[in-house]
Amino acid sequence: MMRNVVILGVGMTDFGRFPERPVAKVGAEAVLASLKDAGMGWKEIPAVYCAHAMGRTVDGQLVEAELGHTGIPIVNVSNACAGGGTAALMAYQAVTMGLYDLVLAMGVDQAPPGPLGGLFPPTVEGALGIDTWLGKYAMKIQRAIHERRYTLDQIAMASVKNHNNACLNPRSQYKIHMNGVEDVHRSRMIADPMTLYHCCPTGDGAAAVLFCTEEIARRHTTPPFIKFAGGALTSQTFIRGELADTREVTARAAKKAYEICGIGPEDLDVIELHDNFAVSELEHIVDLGLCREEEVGHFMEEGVFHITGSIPVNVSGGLLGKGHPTAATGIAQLCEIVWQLRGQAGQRQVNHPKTGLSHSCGGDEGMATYVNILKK
Amino acid sequence: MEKVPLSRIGKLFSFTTVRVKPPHFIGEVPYLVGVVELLEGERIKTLLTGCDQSGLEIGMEMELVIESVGRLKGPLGKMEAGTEVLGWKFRPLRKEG
Repeated sequence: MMRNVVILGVGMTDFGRFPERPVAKVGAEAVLASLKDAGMGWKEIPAVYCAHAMGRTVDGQLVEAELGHTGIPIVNVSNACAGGGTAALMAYQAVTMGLYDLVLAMGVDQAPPGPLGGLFPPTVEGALGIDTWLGKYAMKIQRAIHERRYTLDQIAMASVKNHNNACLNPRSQYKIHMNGVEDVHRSRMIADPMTLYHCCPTGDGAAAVLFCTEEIARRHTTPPFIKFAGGALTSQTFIRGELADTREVTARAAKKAYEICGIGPEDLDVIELHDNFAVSELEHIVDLGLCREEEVGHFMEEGVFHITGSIPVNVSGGLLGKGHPTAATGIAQLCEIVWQLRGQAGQRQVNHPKTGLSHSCGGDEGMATYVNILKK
Repeated sequence: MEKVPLSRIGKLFSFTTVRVKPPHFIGEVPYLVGVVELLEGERIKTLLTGCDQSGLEIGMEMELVIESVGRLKGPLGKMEAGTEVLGWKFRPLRKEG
């Protein structure tokens, strides 16, 4: 029997750069914050799913050692930038299927500055310089402009919005207020026509979420509970003649998640999606079914995706502004959605949201992609 | 599985000038990179040569050339550091007189 799964507690560290702090301490800080939020102690946690993309293969156990050895089962989840969302989905599945009544899902990473590709072994394409994220996303922008899907200004507006949202989030890596698209256009050229502020930073940080049954939730708090409604994980398929990209995997994950949850894109009140580059935000808004391709650029201009708009996207600041400590991102997105659904999001609070969606793409061009949905 | 020879010409699908040195890249920045759609419909990631960015336009006809990219800084597969790497590149199609 499938059981309802409640998110009882959430917690995260500041996102930023603190390479001098051991990863175990960073992770432990997030776990303790989530436990405090739930009114629980570490000794009560029976199992952990710990996502990380950068560290050692036993980062989950290093965090456990920092908090005090309790001998519980710990699964380390490696799914690149989709690791956090994957760990959350696994934790949800464990509770809904009856494997555990209570589980902690977390993500922790310390990502080095600069383009992430250096973490992968060298390849012929890498040596030739033809298979780089910066180049590919710049070429996506060129195509989008050529096909008259979006203008460079409309793409830059996603960056302006998310950086300004990040200024309202005390956990953000960057608090750079932007007056307009000129601030984006004037930043350093990375790959024409893409400038620095089109690109999300990487960094350090951790986030943790406690999943439990309704029975346990009732012992600690009162309804309405915030529930993990369900989610879906996808990987790429072969499409002849096409270059791999994050769009089809995203659309497929969304469709599956909507079916599982019985929730449609029109029902969503707050969306945290994968804005690794500004252009990705416009594409993924469409892929998630939030509006049509021919609408997204105009909607961006009209402020539809702002905190006060009708489809609030990346109100936390997104990857662009809040920062992207790789596998911590998918869990941090859930923290934001929980705060939003509880009405605890302060200056970036959306007007009475009841449902929220979290989405990220991991690996090269969405090799691992997830969509997770929460509801009140 | 069947081996199919691909055409040496195609149309420029997209392009950019990369100005930040990517990890593992053996050449120098800035450099021109693109995607060329071959006559068969396959899209190939490629270095671009024989022109500068201002001479490029999406949809223009391109042709394959083989040129040196640089020397390996470290070993790659069976190749030792210092090995000169020849790579595939595309340039704007030159109409022969």
